[in-house]
Amino acid sequence: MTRTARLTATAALGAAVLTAGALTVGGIVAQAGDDTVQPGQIVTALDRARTGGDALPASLVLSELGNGGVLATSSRLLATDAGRSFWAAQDAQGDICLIVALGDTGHTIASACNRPHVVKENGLLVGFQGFHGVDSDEAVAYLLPDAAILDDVSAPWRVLSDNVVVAASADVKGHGSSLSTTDHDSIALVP
Amino acid sequence: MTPSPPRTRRRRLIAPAVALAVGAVIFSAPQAAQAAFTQYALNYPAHESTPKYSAVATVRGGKGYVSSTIMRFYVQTLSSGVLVASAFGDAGSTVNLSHASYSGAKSRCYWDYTGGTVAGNPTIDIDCWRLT
Repeated sequence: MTRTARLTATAALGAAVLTAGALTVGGIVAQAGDDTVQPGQIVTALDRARTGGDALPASLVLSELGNGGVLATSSRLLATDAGRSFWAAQDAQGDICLIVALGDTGHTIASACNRPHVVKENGLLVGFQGFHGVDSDEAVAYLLPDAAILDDVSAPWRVLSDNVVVAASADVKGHGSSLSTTDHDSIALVP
Repeated sequence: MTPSPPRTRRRRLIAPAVALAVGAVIFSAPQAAQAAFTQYALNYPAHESTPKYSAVATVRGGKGYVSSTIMRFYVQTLSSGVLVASAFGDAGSTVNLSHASYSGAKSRCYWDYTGGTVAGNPTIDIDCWRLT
């Protein structure tokens, strides 16, 4: 094989590797790329000035959360209720996350992250259970876009803030609900 | 001048100790940072409500997702066979769970459909990790 042929073969192999890599990354980017909406456009609290109370629990390893880890300065405390705390945050892929620290002594923290357009259309559900000895905490929460009309929320769902509704698991079984949005869409609360 | 035996022995001990300490720093730091996640399901074709379990280990949480925007996805921890923590999400969310450390525990993950049992008992790929 001549030097030119070897170079050509090497270049072809390199191009193939790069293409494969691009396809792999492309799969992720394509998932991320179908979303032109920024998190702060869905939940404007994510763009407000950060305060000391917005910090996530020190026990939480941020790199473990979401896709590629939650950005340390992105968390915003949205609500507290019965020993629980609810934060919105963004991960490294630009997803919106709802992070819930439970009121149990087992230091349980549950979270879910999803694309901004999904949160806009569906809200963001986190169901959680924490048991530690006889102590337990069990509920279902939604992070809602600013566009959700909270006047539509009815028992057993409770409004904790402009973006968070919650219901005890025991109360909410069979109590799905639907909210209208200012965009003339609807969001189903599915327990 | 007669060399001091204790100092020589100490010097002999210090060199290996330093080497061990440096080695420990070099090798343990990345492991500590990366050992948090252990994947136990990779594109695993799971049937509805059929959990995939991790090996028994020290568990302080879990993570995962289902390749579906319709199904609900669960990440749970069991200690001695008893459920100690659970988290779930919808619409293709990445679900995370963290909690106090339990030794001799398992992580598990599964999906279901809130609208009832899916006809045909299909499988959907899931990805799951336990946190240690």
